[in-house]
Amino acid sequence: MSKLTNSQVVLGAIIIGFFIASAIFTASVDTDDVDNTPEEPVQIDTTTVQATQAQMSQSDKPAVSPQQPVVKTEAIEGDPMEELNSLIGLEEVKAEVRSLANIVKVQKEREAQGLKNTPITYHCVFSGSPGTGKTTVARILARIYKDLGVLKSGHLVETDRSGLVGEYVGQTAPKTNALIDSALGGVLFIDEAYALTENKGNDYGGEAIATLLKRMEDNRDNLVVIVAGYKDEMKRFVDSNPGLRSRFTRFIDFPDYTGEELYKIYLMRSNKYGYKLDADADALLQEQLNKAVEHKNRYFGNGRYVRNLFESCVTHQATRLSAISNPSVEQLQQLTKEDVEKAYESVLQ
Amino acid sequence: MKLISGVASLLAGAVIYLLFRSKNLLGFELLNRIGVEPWADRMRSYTADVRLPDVVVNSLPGGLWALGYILVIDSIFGNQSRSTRIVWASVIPLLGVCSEVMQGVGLLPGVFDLWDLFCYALPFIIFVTRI
Repeated sequence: MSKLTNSQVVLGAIIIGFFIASAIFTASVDTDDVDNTPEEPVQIDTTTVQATQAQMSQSDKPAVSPQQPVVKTEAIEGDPMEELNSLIGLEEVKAEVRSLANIVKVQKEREAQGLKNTPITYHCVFSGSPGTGKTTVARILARIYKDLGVLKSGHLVETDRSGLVGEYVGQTAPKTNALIDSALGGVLFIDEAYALTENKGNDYGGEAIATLLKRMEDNRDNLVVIVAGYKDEMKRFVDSNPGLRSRFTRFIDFPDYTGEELYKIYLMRSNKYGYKLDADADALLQEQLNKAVEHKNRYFGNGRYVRNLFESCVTHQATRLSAISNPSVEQLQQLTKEDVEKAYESVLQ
Repeated sequence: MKLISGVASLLAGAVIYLLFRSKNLLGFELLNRIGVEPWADRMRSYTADVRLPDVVVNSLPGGLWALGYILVIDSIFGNQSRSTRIVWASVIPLLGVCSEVMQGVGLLPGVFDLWDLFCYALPFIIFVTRI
């Protein structure tokens, strides 16, 4: 045993100081563990969507945009399976969703009988071009999950990279957590999710993914996440991270619409709003839609293209009718070849 | 040897924090500032599938740090009397136990946890009985 030296005391004090500092660094910087109130509330626009208009609404509703990075819609009304069946085209998607619904249903019944279940994942990857119905089917699936008791509310929170990733250091995790909190009990739909792994000057996308994965695990009983985007990009996105790969095992591919399907969507839309195509306009529309599909590139808007075309037709009809002092009901309803022609030119521009 | 074991114990506690604890910790702010958070995020995403028991994630790091402290401090004061070694070794475990008790009586923010208390106290109890 030797005498206690000054250097020992100083060293001991430094070590104590180090450990106290370590303890301070393990303290929470916000109240997330106790209180889920976000530091910066996420802007959420709540809109009720009528189930009977889901496919129409898909193109009516504004897509997630930098100005409105988060869109929240309540659970659709009516019978979701009926809604699914009423969608034009998407036969393979419908079959996939029905099959998923059947699995969940049987699982629930087995659970009720006290039988063991194999773990199934409710999270999905929706791959396909813009305007192919991914958001619409996500809303329907959310409602199916609600009906089958997987989710409590069945609402859909739609966002993209901008709704998850902060601009500055320290903003991303609280922002992602706040958004996930708003999606609990429903479906979080992340459009163009692959953008989270694209390096855009910072790597906050990685932080958003890490936060998302943790919360998917922590809230696995009341949160379903659907990630969506172009097929190849989504495959790369999921493969980029083992956590993503193990959670997103269910891929549903949304094919582009055929010319005939786009034509049916157009007719559904014009019927909904009380417009009629005359014979020449009808023939021209079919021809133009087939041509559009033939010459499409990967950015072709599918359902959104039809919406734009229809809106442009309506605008040109209004211009044409403005020259008539007292248009008849029939004239107010009729879309002519001239309207379609001009609309097609406008959309091309 | 004590020093190496102490540092290893300290690092093990830090790794649990880094990989499994919530990111709402001041330490992550520090990682942000020194620019290594993306690296930490990548590591966290690789362990996102790993589910550890709550006691391992929440209480064990405190115990590992208490153990690390005792080993490191005893590597400095190992040549001193038993009472001196115990006094120096008791500082951090005692602070841990006190903070837990104060949380229990509402004098400090946080949630009282018996496992936390146990993990802080155990290394010190073992140390006292072994020297």
